[in-house]
Amino acid sequence: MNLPQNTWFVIAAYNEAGRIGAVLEELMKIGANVVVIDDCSADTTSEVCAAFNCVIIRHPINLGQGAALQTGMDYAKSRRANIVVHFDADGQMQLKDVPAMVEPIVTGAAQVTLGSRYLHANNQVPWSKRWFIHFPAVYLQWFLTGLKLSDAHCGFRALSAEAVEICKIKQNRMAHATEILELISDNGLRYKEVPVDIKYHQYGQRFKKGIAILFDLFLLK
Amino acid sequence: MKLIIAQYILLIPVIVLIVSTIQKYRQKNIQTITLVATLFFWLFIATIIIFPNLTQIAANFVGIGRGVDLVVYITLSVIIMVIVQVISRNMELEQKITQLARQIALKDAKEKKDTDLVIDNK
Repeated sequence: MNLPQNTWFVIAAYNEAGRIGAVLEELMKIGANVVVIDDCSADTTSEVCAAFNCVIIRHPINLGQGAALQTGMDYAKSRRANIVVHFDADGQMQLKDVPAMVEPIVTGAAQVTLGSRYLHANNQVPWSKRWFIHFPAVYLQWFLTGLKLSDAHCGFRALSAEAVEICKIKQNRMAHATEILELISDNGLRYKEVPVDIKYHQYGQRFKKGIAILFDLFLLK
Repeated sequence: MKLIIAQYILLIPVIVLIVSTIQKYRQKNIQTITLVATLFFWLFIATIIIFPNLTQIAANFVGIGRGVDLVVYITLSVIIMVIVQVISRNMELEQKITQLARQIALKDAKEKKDTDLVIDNK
């Protein structure tokens, strides 16, 4: 797989010792630049990562996924990354989708690409998750940010160097997904949705967590 | 003038707070102006507890039926203001802690290639 020069994968990891190894192994095969942000995991995430040729940044205290991504982007910036890819630590996102994600950025068609689980006709998303969580989220998103996307929070993103410069995530926890869209719309960044496949191991977030995200979103307004 | 039991009960925390404020001042933990302002505030509260009818005058003036209602409204709005302030302070703090933790984390970033280089140089 040919990735553009100085593409950095940012992986936020929290207690992912069991899964992150396989993800890093795949990334190492294609010689990717990877920075793992260990968000003060209680397990051996850092030790597992140490076996690979990647950069490991460990938060001294647990800050949340949004904060971890921002730390990773700060690091990538210091390495003059041309493209930053937000990747996950548990193997839900697939490497085969990466070229399609970065391509619009290389050609200049977009400054940010957002993965979408729903642009594919036969996606694997459980129907209950689709109708009761994602569907309302898409419309709330539209209301909050003015962006109407087919998928609200996929988490698979690629950002150009300018976009990384502009995106300063302040939402430490999960509300960062909406915050990034707000940053895109406020700064008039060019964005594009790209169909991706997501493998579901289990139900991601619980409903209670969703309420906590809403709380974060409205308070930091 | 005879005080009812509720008034005695309400006066206890006020007296405790007045005494502790004076103690803090003696230990030079607070400034004179803070002492005066705090004492005025608690003496005002004590006055209201002892002469609740005073609030009736204020309530009539602003057009609220009962003095107690006025006190409840004011107390509630003060509490809400304080909560809002605490939340925003909390968020500011969180941002500061995040930045601090991030800087520490970035400083200690383990770069495998670079550490290998350092060993080679030795």
